[in-house]
Amino acid sequence: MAIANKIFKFFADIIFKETGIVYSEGDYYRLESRLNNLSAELKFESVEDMYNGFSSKMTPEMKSSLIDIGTNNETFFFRDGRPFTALVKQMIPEIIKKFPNEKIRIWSAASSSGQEAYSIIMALEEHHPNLNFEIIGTDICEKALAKAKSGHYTNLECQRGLKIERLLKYFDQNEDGNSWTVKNQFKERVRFSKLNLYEGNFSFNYYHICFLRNVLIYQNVENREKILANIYKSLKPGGYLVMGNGESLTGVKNEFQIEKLENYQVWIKPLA
Amino acid sequence: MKVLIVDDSKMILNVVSEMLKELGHEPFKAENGQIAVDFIKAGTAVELVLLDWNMPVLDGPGFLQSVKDEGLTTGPIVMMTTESKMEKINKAMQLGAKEYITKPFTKEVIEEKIKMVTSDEEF
Repeated sequence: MAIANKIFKFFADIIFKETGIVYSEGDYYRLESRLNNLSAELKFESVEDMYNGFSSKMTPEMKSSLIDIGTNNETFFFRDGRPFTALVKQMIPEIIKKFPNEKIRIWSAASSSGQEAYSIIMALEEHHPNLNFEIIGTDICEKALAKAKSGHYTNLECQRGLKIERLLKYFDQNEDGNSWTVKNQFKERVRFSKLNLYEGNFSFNYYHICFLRNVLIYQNVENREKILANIYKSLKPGGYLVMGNGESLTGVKNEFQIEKLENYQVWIKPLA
Repeated sequence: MKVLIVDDSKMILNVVSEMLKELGHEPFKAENGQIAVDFIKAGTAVELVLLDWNMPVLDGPGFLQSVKDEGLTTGPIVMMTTESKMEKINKAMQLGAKEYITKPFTKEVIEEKIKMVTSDEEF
């Protein structure tokens, strides 16, 4: 049965309020199968039935399930390899120069199911094996965070972006033969926690590098500015912001400066 | 790129062949390892092989061994199989395979794995 626009709008409004992600009328089709799946999962007879349930009483669990379906969790290992090359060849050497003897903190700010954070660990292990670093992964989606923490990926997920040598080096195969788990020695280099990027609590001058790829494109200008201000505050002066290939901050108020690295453009928080 | 698909399933041969065409490659099909060996010996300059494990007459490891023993030029060989156990992966790599795809897979996986064995990009 077709879902009425007022029902789409009801769910889209909650997703926007909780995550800042905009689903306008033209995007409703992207929510359709996810709403159908969610209503089946929660044992409602239909999306309309779920709408009646949610609009009469919204529990925190209901809200969390909507955040799960509203966030775009598509990700894979070493997605668009160039930021990782820029990280190991240019950003890390610069950070070591600027912050000698400091533990380097790298933030995967919308870590989704963890592939970006684990890719960073692998890249650093291969290029800077003695580096003193920690990775912090944050996301608003609890399902994605649970997966990231488990470090457990199916064969298909591992095939997206992972060379076979890396799979064998960094993962243990699970008994089912169809999935893999990141080895403990690498898993313990990262912490994952829940954070809403536009209204959470943010550390001040804390991170050296922040990865925020393909996040702002789903936000309206007002939320982009809020998120950028929060990231700016959390980065150390001289720290880097890494966004997705082709993403731009044109028309968005912010205090970052563009820095053109050899093969990738990043943004930097100017030194005070 | 001339890509030889070696698999005893006609369905896989056809599906992967279509995927490769969409990715801009020129696919060739062989229904087992022996047909693949004969095809290469006949002179087609194959640039990459997608290789199943379990096949009649000559299986995937048998093909890898023949390539080694007879010094055949095949370009990089990528396994494409339901055999997903680590021991099997290690065995294929020892025999000369360069990458490993487990079924089921998507067109994106084939595209990325081909890129991994044909480019020198690290990430």
